[in-house]
Amino acid sequence: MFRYIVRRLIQAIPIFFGITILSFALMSASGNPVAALTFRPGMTPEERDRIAARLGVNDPWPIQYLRWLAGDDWMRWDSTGDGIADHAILVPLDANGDGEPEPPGDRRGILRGDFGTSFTKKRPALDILVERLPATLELSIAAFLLGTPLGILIGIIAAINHGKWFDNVSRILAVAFTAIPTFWFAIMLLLIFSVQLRLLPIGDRCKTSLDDSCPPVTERLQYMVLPVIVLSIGSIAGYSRVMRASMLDVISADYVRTARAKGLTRRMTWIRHAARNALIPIATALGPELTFLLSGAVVTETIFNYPGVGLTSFAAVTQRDYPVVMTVTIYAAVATIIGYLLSDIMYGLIDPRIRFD
Amino acid sequence: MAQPRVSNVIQLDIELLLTQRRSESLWARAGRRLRKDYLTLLALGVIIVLTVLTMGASVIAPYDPEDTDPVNRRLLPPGTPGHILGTDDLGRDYLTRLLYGGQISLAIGYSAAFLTLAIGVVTGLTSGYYGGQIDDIMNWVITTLDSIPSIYLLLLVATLLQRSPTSFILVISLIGWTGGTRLIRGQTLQLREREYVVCAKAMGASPWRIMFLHILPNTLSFLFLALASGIGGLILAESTLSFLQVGIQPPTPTWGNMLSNADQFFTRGPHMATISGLLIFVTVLCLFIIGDGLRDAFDPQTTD
Repeated sequence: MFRYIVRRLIQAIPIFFGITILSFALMSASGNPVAALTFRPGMTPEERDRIAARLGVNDPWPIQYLRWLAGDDWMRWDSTGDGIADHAILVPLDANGDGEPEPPGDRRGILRGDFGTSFTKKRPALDILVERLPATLELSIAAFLLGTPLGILIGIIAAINHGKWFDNVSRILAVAFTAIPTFWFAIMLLLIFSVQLRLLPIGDRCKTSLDDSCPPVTERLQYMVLPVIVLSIGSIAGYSRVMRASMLDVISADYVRTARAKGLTRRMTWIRHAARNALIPIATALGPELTFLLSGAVVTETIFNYPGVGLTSFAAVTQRDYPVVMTVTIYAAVATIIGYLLSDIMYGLIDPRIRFD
Repeated sequence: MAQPRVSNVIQLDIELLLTQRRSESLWARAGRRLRKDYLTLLALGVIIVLTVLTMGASVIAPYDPEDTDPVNRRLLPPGTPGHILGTDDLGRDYLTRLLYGGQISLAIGYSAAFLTLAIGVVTGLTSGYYGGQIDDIMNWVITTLDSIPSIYLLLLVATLLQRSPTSFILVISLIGWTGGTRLIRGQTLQLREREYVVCAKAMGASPWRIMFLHILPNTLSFLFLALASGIGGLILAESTLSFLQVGIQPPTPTWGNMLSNADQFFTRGPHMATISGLLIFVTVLCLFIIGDGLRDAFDPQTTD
């Protein structure tokens, strides 16, 4: 098991680098960041050139990628302590040829947690992500805690009542909720429950306050109801379909018939013997579920104006705040890799038939 | 154990032939099965009607989609004389915009789905058939692309490009092809070990011939499923991005961007929040149903 986890972690390394290359390529394609960084009237072209040389935007792209990935504090550094760079590898000491060395590199690269500074908020991009994470986690966890058990339960009941009305209705609803556009479903819920019935708030995480803080979750549950329903409806539909199919597979297995033959009640066989084994395929759905919760949150948080990672990343995209966009993208990708890894490990833990060696 | 005599075996075969009906082609059988599948037929009918209506928008639509009503430059409720479904906040005829918007949404869904499937078929067949290093590299590319939640990829790329429908189709196709590749690759991996493929290989068929003439037709039921649900999924993706205003930009209408400001008109014009979303929902639902129906109809494994 341990060896398997290590092997899977090693396999994740090339994928992580693939993600960084892709993200970097997309960011580079978006154009020169100097224009965004030096948006200040009265700046001379010489000053702009100096900033460009310091940022290294004219370097060949492998160097730029390396700088973004691993930083440049080791590319050009000051060994004497006088504040002037005196050593350089990979990049020239004097990049713009004005006879003076460029200042020592001060970036540490994303591998060491330096995702750059947000263009719009002038703060480290990682701080912005970390600050917004709790709001997203509280939505995702709530959606997960609601969606997974409910989906599994509906799947089990549908399988037990195979071919009866509950089965048919739940199957139709499952297809319908897979086809419904998330954003429109959210709009409809808002229209009905917030505008027509005035039962629930129309958005936000809590009442607006001066210091932008929110009370504990228990005092603002009404704000979470609609976003959590929107986020979890997809997983309820998905899980109920997987669970129903898996349950129907298992119910006709020999050991379930044996259990019945031994004289166990129907209920006992379904819960103790069938449902437990039917849960195995659910484990594989947990990885994609994590991705879904993270990416579904962009739309949901935007509609409900819920200040989490999704809303932040959407705002960053519209403002072309690339450091923040990159931070969020890489965070989401790493979370996805971990999600898939976890679901593989869980698969192995739950199903004793799977051997890792 | 006594071997059956040759003559007996032949006689058995002849009897079988006589009792069996004339053998049916894949398409004929699929057609026969579909004729009994009323749900799929209904869904197919809805999609055909919607497609014809929207593609004929320039003939059917009573107004120009970007022209505002010269008298009433404001939101009119459905049922207003001259505007069956009312107008939007700028006084543009809502029915007209629905038809033109559907034209763009459906056209994007159809063409992007064909493009993704074409990429998926070529990459899936080659990596599944050749295996080895080609397959390893392809796997790496797919896993990398799939590791970034697609909404982030779409948001990233959408900001880079001009928001014309053509570039939009290219973008969502370049991001969305991995599903098709996975599907076709999986099927190819299974089929390439089958006797008839080994036999074709032994007879000297070229890899190209084996891939496209022997393996591809056997994945037909999956191709139809992938195509129909692909169109649905891409319509959802387009409408989501256009709704978020990073897809197709106004004044060009799509079913998605017509909902962008809907929340501002909840009380004055609920029709602006309901109708186009309902159309997306119905369209995608029908496409999913068609996908399932076609897969069942074209599945060579199932018997009636």
